Amino acid sequence: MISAEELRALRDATRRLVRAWTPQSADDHEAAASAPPDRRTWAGMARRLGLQGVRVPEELGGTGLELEAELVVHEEMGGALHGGPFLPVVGQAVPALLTLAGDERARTMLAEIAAGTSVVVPADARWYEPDAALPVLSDGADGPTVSGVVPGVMAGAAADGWLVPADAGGRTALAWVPAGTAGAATEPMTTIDLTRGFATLRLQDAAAVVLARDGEAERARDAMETGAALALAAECVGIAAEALDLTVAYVKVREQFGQVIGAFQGVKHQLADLYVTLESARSALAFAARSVGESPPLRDAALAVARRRCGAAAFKIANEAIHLHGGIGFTWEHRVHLYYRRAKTNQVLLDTGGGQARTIAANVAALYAG
Amino acid sequence: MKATTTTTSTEGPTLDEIAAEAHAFLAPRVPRRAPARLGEGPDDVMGVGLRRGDAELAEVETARAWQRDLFGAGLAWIDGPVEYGGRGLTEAHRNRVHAVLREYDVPNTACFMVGHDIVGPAILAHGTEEQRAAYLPGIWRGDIICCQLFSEPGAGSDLASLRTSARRADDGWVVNGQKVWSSYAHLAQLGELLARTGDPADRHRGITAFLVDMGAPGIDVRPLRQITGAEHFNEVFLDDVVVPDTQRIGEVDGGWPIALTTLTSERSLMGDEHNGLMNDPVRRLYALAESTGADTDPVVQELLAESWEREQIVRETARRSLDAPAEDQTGSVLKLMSTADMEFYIAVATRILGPRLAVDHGTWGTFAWSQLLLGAPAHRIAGGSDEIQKNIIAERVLGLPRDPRPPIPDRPTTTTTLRPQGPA
Repeated sequence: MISAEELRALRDATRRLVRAWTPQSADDHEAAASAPPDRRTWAGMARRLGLQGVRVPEELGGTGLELEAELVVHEEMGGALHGGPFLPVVGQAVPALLTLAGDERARTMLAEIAAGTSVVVPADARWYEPDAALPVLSDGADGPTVSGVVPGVMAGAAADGWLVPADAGGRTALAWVPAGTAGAATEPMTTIDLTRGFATLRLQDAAAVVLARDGEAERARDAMETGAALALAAECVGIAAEALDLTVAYVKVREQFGQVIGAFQGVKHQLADLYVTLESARSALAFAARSVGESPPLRDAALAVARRRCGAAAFKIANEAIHLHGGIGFTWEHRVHLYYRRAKTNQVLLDTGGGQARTIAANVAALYAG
Repeated sequence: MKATTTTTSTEGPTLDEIAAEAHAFLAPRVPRRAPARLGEGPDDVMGVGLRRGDAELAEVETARAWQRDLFGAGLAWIDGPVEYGGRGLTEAHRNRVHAVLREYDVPNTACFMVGHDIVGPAILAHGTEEQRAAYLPGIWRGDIICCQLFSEPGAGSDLASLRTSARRADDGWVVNGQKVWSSYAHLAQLGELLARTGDPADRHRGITAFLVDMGAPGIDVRPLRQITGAEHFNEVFLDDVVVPDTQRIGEVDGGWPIALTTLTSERSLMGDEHNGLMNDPVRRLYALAESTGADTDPVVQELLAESWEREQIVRETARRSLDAPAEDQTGSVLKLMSTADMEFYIAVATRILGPRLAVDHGTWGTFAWSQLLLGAPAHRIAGGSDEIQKNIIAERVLGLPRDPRPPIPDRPTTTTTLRPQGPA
């Protein structure tokens, strides 16, 4: 078990590094989005702190820490509004590849991820569009190929390749398509979140390596979904904490009626409510993380609690953060709107159409039925 | 209690062992609180303030007998020092035992809440050796029911303005004044009193804490009937009540830090799953929805989901608070969460029950929700109102400027923080 002390050290080190290496203003984020992927930062995060290898076993060059440590890193990424491929690679691809740890190709990919030399990004719309059709895997004369369109691939354009769950004649397969493969192309999508890129991946008879099939592929896919949910929820906690910090700092200096506005009870009580909201998100995340090894109804209900609560908390706090900043909060120059944008994006990815409430309701009914 | 537990065994049982011990004690004595039991037996949703008169006295006698057995088995005061009747284990052990207790239909022991969670911790932290030895075992064995004598008609949220006086006399102190909102004072043997020993202008620096024998001459307890119909709290008139100096807790004029200990103990109280304020409300909501068929309504499903979510979050917050530093004020966070949750559960019950919340149709587990409806407003006031809790968070966690307070003449501005108090 990682100690509280070690977690704090990991958090502090991550915070210093990620904040120094993440664009601050909306203009800088826009510039970064149209520039080529930032591989120096990616390599630096691995070299300095081994962040990509936080869950990768030590024999593959990682640090092999627990989920709790990974979530601390995602929180800091969220707080800094870091927009690189960290979440899809570390939050989604690594857990999926870890389920295939006996597979030599998966082990190589994990080692390259930990070393900061490879950006492996999942292309799976299921965690926010549960009924989306999968790309189709066909066995051609020259080996397997995939065809289909996957929207909403996070950091999709920055990837060295995509992990693509595919439909192989009614059975699930997990395909690996390296970037540069003929027939594979990404198009950037327009997003409200200026800090993170999403792309549509178009695959037309693109040559693919099949990493897993059937149950094994399903397990990898489930690991992607769970990992993404936990990572996004953790980001939300970081977003919420940082948006609240920014706002508390602002109301301590902004003066009206001859005093700082943070002295007015109307403002104080609103901020106290937001602090309770933040604590509820922290508890929701801790509950979900602690429950990953529990029985499926408890585990799934707990994860749904985090998906609902963390997203809602981040957006509520980011929204009130703009409000409490007054007019300055509504300007392009002030970065508080970046939290609002990221928070809403994460929230809708975490809980689409009230689905998580249904997940809780059904699983808790099962729990109570015993 | 963490900071004041002096005797903590390092070789005691593990959490699983203490849980097994609790099960072994409970299983032959009381039935399990299983889902199947919903629909029979008492359907109380509220855990406190339901009975009056003979029914309340009978409930107290049952609670006392139960508490004696629990104490005898070493399962009453899990995290208390051994020399005062505790088990000398950790808060984690306590919570584990309380989680086990929640699985059984144990008698309602809410009448001991003030002693166990508020007055007991103050005696442990600030009392003399004689006071600890004299009162703590009895409080935990169920012999002594406690009350607070804090709030006054003119001193609610602004507790530091209290006026009940304690004047020096040959045989100790003579107390005069009026207290109010004293829960369980009509049943209590022991009261924790805050009285003015200094100049009223000195506010919190002229207050002393005492332990008062509630049977002493000059004490007149008058129950106040509440909106629930129960008589759970009281007015207490003190007319030349003699209190020996040996009953003083802490220094003369040094009562304020003791009041703070009392208030901080709310952390344990609000975060404790066994606090008895509500009886398994979310499980009951699920059962209620199932029994009326409302569980197929998607709106109700979402409300049920959020109810469970809230319950898990407040529990997780309580769990996290065990490791949190005092300056995180998790007691205030938990209290705000809990009161909001209570109101949410009422809204869900309202949605499911409709008119059956207002008019008793005699169906098990329906009109019982009106107890929560009528009792809930108290919890937003008691133990420091929602507004006071928000001030605490804003000022001490977020570092925002303090609300204005009356000046204290001729002394440097105090740095001690005021923690006002509503009814207990």
